[in-house]
Amino acid sequence: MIISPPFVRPRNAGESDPSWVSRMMPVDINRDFPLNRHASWHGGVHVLHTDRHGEEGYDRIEFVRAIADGEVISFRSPSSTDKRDTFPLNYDGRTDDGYVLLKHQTDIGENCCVVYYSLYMHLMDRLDPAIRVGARVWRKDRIGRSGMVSETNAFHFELFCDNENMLKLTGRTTPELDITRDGRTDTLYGDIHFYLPPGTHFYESVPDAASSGTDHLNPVHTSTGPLFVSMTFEKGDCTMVTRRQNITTEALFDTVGEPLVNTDANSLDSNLNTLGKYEYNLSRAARRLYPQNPSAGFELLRFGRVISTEHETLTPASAPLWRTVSFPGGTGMVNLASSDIKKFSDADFPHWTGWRLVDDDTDNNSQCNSPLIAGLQESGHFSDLSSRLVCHFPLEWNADTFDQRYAWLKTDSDDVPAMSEEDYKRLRSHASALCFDMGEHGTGRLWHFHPEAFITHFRKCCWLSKSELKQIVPRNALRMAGRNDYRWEAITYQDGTGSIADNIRTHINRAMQKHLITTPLRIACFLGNGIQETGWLGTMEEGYRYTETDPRTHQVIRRYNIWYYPWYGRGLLQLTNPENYFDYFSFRGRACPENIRNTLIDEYSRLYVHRGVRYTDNHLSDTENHVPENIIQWRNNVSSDSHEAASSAGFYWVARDMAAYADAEHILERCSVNTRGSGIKIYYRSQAFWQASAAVNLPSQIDNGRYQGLNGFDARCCVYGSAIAVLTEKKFPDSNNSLVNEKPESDQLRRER
Amino acid sequence: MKTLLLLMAIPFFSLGKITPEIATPDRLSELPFDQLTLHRGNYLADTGSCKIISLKLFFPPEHKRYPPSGPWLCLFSVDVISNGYGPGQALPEKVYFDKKTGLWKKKKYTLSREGAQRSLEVYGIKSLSELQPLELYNIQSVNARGYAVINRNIPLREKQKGVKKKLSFCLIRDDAAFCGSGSMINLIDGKDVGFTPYMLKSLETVEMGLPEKTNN
Repeated sequence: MIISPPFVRPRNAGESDPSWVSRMMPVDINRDFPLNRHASWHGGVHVLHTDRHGEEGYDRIEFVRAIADGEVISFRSPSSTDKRDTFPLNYDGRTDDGYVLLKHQTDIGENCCVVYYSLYMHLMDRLDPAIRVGARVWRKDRIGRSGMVSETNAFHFELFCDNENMLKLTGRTTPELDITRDGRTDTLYGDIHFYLPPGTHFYESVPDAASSGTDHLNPVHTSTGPLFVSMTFEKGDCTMVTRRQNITTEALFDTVGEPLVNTDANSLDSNLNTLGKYEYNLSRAARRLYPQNPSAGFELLRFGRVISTEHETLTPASAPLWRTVSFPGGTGMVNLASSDIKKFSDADFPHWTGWRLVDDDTDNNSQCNSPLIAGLQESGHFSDLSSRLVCHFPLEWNADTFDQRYAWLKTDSDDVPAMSEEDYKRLRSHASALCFDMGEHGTGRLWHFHPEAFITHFRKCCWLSKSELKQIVPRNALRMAGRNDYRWEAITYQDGTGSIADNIRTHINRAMQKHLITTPLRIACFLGNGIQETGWLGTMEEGYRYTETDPRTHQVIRRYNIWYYPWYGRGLLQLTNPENYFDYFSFRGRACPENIRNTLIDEYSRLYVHRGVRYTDNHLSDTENHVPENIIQWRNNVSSDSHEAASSAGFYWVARDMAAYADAEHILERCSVNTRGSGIKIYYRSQAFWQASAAVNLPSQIDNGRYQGLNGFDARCCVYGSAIAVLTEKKFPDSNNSLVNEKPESDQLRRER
Repeated sequence: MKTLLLLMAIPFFSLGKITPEIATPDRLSELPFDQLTLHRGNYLADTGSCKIISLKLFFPPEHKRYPPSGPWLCLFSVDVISNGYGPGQALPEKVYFDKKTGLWKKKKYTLSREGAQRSLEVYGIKSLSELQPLELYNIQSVNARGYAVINRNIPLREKQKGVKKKLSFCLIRDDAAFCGSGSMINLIDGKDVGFTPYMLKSLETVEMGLPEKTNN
C-alpha cells in the first residue's frame, strides 16, 4: 500500500513522517472525527485550507490530491458560486457541493488484497479534467480545489471500508486485540509489539545472550501486571518502549520509564560507520547470537519470532531473544522469545497503542449511542483517543436514509433541544443537496477511520501491489553502447500470470519486510538495483554465456562461459563469486565443507588478480572441485527459486549495510543525456543512491564523487527515478535545479489509464 | 594542541612507520585506545583475504568518539593499486603506487572540461584554484603497507554537515587491501578536535590476515 495526505508540500528539515502528515491536513476542531456537534457521528474530518499565494513551498493554487492510486466511483462538479451562496447549499454558511469518491484497491500483505474508499466533499470551482466515472487516478494526482463548508475554507475528507475489508485491514472487528495468541503474519509492518504477562522475569544481566538458561541469572523484577513493549526500528536505531494500563482509565496506556534507544547494541557487531546502531548491525548480531542459522535468528531479532516458518528453522528451537526492557522502577533483561510472551505488529492495530474498534452502536441513525465512546467521554480522555477509534456507522450522504438517520433531532434529548419541523426541513434540504447516489454502500453501516491516523498508520506498510511494483519499472532505460554513445531503449515488462515478475513479487515483499527495506527511500535503493540487475525482473541469472564472432563475416568462432562460471550472478541482486555464495549459505544455516569453500575462494581470488589466466588456467568448475550436489542445488536455487532469489538479495542488503546509505538525504541531481536517435533524455541520481549501489556492487567506489565505474548505473538511475516518483513525495529538479516537477521527465512512469 | 615529536622508542610502534614523520600527540604511550578485532562482516568485502584484522584505535583523551566515518573495507589489492586515490574525487591531483620505489606518490593532472565542471559542482567552488593540495603519508603497519591521504577538499553536502577534513587510507598485504575513510575533525563542546594524528598512529598498528576463528 502506498498512501499520502491530500495535500503534498515540502517537508521541513528533520520533520518526522507523522508530523508532516499532520501538518498536511489541519483539522477543524468543530468538525472532527468521529463525532460532530450534538454527539452525532461524523464520518470524516474537515481539512482546513486556504490557498497561500506566493509563499515559498506552496503552489499558486494548491490542489486536493488523490491519496492513493484508485478509480473514480462517482463525482459531482462543483456548482457555481451563486448557487453555493444561496440556500439550500448556504444553510449555516456558504458551502460548496463538488465531490469525488475514489475506490482504492491494493495489497497490505500476502494474499491480503484490500479495498477502501476516500471521499473528498465540498470541492469548489472545477474538478480536474481527468475525473470521470471509472477513470484511473494515481496517487498525488490533482482532483480539485478545496472549497467552503459552513462559511469555513475546508473540505470534508472521509475514509471508509466495508466489514469484509475491515477484517483484512485490521485483522478484527472486536474492540481490542486478542492477546492470548500471536498476531497475524499474512501482513506485518511497522513496530513490533510484545505482550508480557504478569509473572514475567527480568534479569540484571545475561552473560551469554545465546543461552535461554536462567539458573545462574540474577532476577531484578517479576512483573505483577500486564506490560506491553513496543520495538521500533528507524534509521539504524532500535527503540524499546514499555506501556501499562492506566489505573483509572482502562483505555489509556501509560509509558513506563524512558524509551531505551540502542541499549542492546554491541560493538562486536559493528562496522566503523554503524557503531552503536542496533538496527544497522542486526545481521552481524544474528551471526554472533544464532550461528547455526543466522537468517532465522535475524527474524527473531527483527520480528520477535520466526515468520518464514516454511523456509527458516530456528536452531536451537529454544534460542532466546534477550532484550533490555523497562519495568516499573527500572530496567532488566527479558527473553522476549519465550512462548508466554505474545508477539504482534502495527498490522494488528494494538489497543495499547490506542486502536479501538467501535461497533456497539447498532442502530441505523446518526446519533452516537456507543457505550464505549460514552465511557471514554466520561473518563475525560475521549479527545486523546478519538483519532484511533475505528467506528461502524452509516454513511451520511444518502438522501433516502435521511429521516432514518436524523429523525432523532426532532426529539428532546439531554444535550440538544428538539428541532422544529421547519428547521428539520431546512436541514434535510441542505443535506439532500449534498447527498449523492451511494450505490451498494447507501444503506447499512460502514467502518470509518480518522483519515490522518489511517494515512499515518498505513504509510508504514510498504507491501507493493502488482500495480505499484509495475509503476516502478520505468518505460525506458538508458544504455551506454560505447564511448559517448547512449541509447534510450524501451523496456518490455512482462508481469502476466506465471511470469517471473508476477511470481517473485510476494517474495520481494517478504524479503523487504524481513530485512527492514521498509521505507520508500530504502525500497527505491533496493529495487533501483534489483530491477535493473534482473533485466526488469525478467531473469534471475546473469547472462554468463558469450559468443565470439568474426567481425567481418559474423561467423561464430566460439562460445564460452564468463570466467567466474559457474559462480555467476544469480538472484535479485545477483549474488556473484564463491565467497558471497558461501556467506549466503552460512547465513541460511547451510554447512559447507571448509576445504571446498576455501579452495574455490582462493581460486576465484587468484583469477581475479591474474586477469591474463582467467580463461586459460581456470579451475573453478564443480567437477574439479568436487562440489557436492547439495551445494550445486543451493547455488542454482538462487536463480530458479523465487524465494531464494529475493532472500539472497535481502541478505546482500543487510550484509553490505545498504540501509545506512539509503537512509541518508537523497538530493536529486537532474542528468541530461543526448541519446542516439532519441534526442535529449533526462534521468536522476543522488549520492545516497550511488553509495547504496556501490556498497553492494563496488565498495571501493562508495566515495567516488563522479559516480564512475558501476555497471549500468545510468539504467539503475532510471528505475530509481520512477521509484522516487511512485513511492515518495519528493519533487524532481528542472533544468534550473528548482524542485518543481512532480514526475520524472522523459515520460518514464509506466501508467495506463 | 600540544604536540611532541614521535618517540621512536615506544615498543608497540616499533613495527610501524609513517613517512613523512608526523608530529605525535603528547603522552602518546598513555593514550586511550580501543583494541579492535575485525572479522569478515565487520568490514565490507570484495574479498575475504583480509581475514581477521587487528588494530589499536587511538583517540584523544576524553574524546573517544570518532567523527562520522565510512565503512571499513577489504578490497583486492590490484584494484587499489589500479585505482589509486584521486580521480573519483574530482580533483586535479591523484595518488598512485610507484612500483619502482614501492611508495605511493602524488601526481597532478589536468581535469577534462566535464571533470572540471563536476569538481566545481561537487565542492561548491567557483574556481579550481580554491582546491587544496592533498597531503600524503606512506604507512608501514605491523604487516601491511599503504597510503593515508588527508583531503581538505570536502564535497559541499558534507561541508554543510560540518566535515572539514577527511582521511582515506588503504593498507596492502599480499592480494588484500584494508581501506577506510572518515572525517577527522569533530566539533566537541564548541571546539574543533582533530583526530588525524591519532588515526595515523592507529594505522601503524594494523595487522591483517590473522587466522579466522569462529565468531561465537
